[in-house]
Amino acid sequence: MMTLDALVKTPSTWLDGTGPHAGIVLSSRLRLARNLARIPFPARARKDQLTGVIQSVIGASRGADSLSGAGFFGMNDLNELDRTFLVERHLISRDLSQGSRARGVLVAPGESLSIMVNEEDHLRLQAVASGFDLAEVWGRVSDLDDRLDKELDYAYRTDYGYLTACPTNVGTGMRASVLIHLPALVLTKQLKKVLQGVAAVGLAVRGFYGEGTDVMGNFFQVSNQQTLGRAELEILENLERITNQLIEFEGKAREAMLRTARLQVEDKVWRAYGTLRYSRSIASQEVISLSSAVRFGLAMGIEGLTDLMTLNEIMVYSQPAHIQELAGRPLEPSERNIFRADMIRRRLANGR
Amino acid sequence: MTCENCGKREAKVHYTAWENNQPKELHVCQECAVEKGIVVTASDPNKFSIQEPVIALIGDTAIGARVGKIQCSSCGLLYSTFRETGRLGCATCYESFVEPLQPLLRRIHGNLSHVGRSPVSQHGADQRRDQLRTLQAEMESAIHRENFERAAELRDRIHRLRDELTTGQDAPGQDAPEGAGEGS
Repeated sequence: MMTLDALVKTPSTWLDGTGPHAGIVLSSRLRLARNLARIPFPARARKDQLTGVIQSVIGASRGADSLSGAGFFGMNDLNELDRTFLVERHLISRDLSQGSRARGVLVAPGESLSIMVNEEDHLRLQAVASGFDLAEVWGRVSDLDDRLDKELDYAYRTDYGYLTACPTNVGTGMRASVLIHLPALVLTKQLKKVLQGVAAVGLAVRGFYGEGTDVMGNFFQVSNQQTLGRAELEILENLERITNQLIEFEGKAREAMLRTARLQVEDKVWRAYGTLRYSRSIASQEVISLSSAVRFGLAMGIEGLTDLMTLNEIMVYSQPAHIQELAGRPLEPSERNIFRADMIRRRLANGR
Repeated sequence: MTCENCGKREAKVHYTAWENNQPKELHVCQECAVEKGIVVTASDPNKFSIQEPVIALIGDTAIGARVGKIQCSSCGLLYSTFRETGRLGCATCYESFVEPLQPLLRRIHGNLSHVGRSPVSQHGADQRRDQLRTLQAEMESAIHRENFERAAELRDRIHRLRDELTTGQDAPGQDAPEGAGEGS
């Protein structure tokens, strides 16, 4: 059985830096929204109904091999820091971490598969994989969906498909996304043009850290918008095709940068690495932008930096709740900065 | 009308944003809409969707105050409450609010009929045919990514579905549970 302590100590498997195009695509995610028939959606369900949903989901998941050894974390059993930790971990949404109703998350070992229970929908089946591998996450989630379907009676209509609390999710209930790193398109100011093209085919692009012009770390999340009237595989193929194009555009921009400004690029990368490697106090936002530069350097084949897995782990473990969980106690922001710099120094020293 | 964001281009996207718990009308151009994360489809500038919340799509249109008073026959949610929160109360809301929901769903998704997976309990004869197509596509995709275990499982389900279609069984609940230790 998984414990929160085990989660803190063991990095999520999707951070291992493997998978297709892992240098550009950090992760692929997919979630399916499902509700149980005859029970109001969580926001309007009674307390006994909500606990009933949790019991049904835990019961049904016992039949799923992919969830063997999974642990359930009830939100009302966790303190605020623990809940924020799960948000930073991308296991739960900010919505799930707030409020007081009976709700939680079931997490498989390795964290590549999980189910949020009683968020805005009764179930949110979610899978994540390192790199660009939508087929893999789809295979895992659809398989789990098949198993649960045998035990649970889903709210469904022939015309509208799977019924969800928010009409933007009705139909397939599916949201697939890739987290993509586009520093060269940002630096060469081609991003806006590229993203307009992406929006034109019905996909949403959002800055992963921050919004609009303040996108930190050059990370973007690309996801499908439409859930009604298009089959899951069609949606996935569309996202896959566009992501491939983004990878290609980013690749070309990177080549061009190296041709014209190799020294400046290397200088920027090594300065970023130097700060991460030797600083004595560092804020989490700074880590995001510095590790973006180092990630860029790694993908460009600059030798002597660190490896992708160490870099991914540094990014995740630098977040405020992670730092405090590692420290085992709440810390003031200034204390956190010192603790963070220390953690990063040690990881980079061991890395390479 | 010019864009409220850049003040230069023509505002083509009109939506209600949700700021400090208050609805706020915004009129922006396509470029700024993309920048702000409101997605516009190039083929049809009138059709747009926002990430969330969906309040934007609910408030306007000529539906009027009448529908606000419609109440869900099962959970009692008022349509006017849905306008505020953007969240429906239960599965029956889709039935009770069908009149105002139809245009809303069309604007969000551009389509009104579900395609794709469905629960086993729903697999009638027609559904089985659709399901067969879905499963075949999924199997090809599994083969393509060399996940042969998954492909074999899907192949078995396809065979069972085909058998059921040819023998004319289509009563709900007669679906053999797939992968449960039977079949090859």
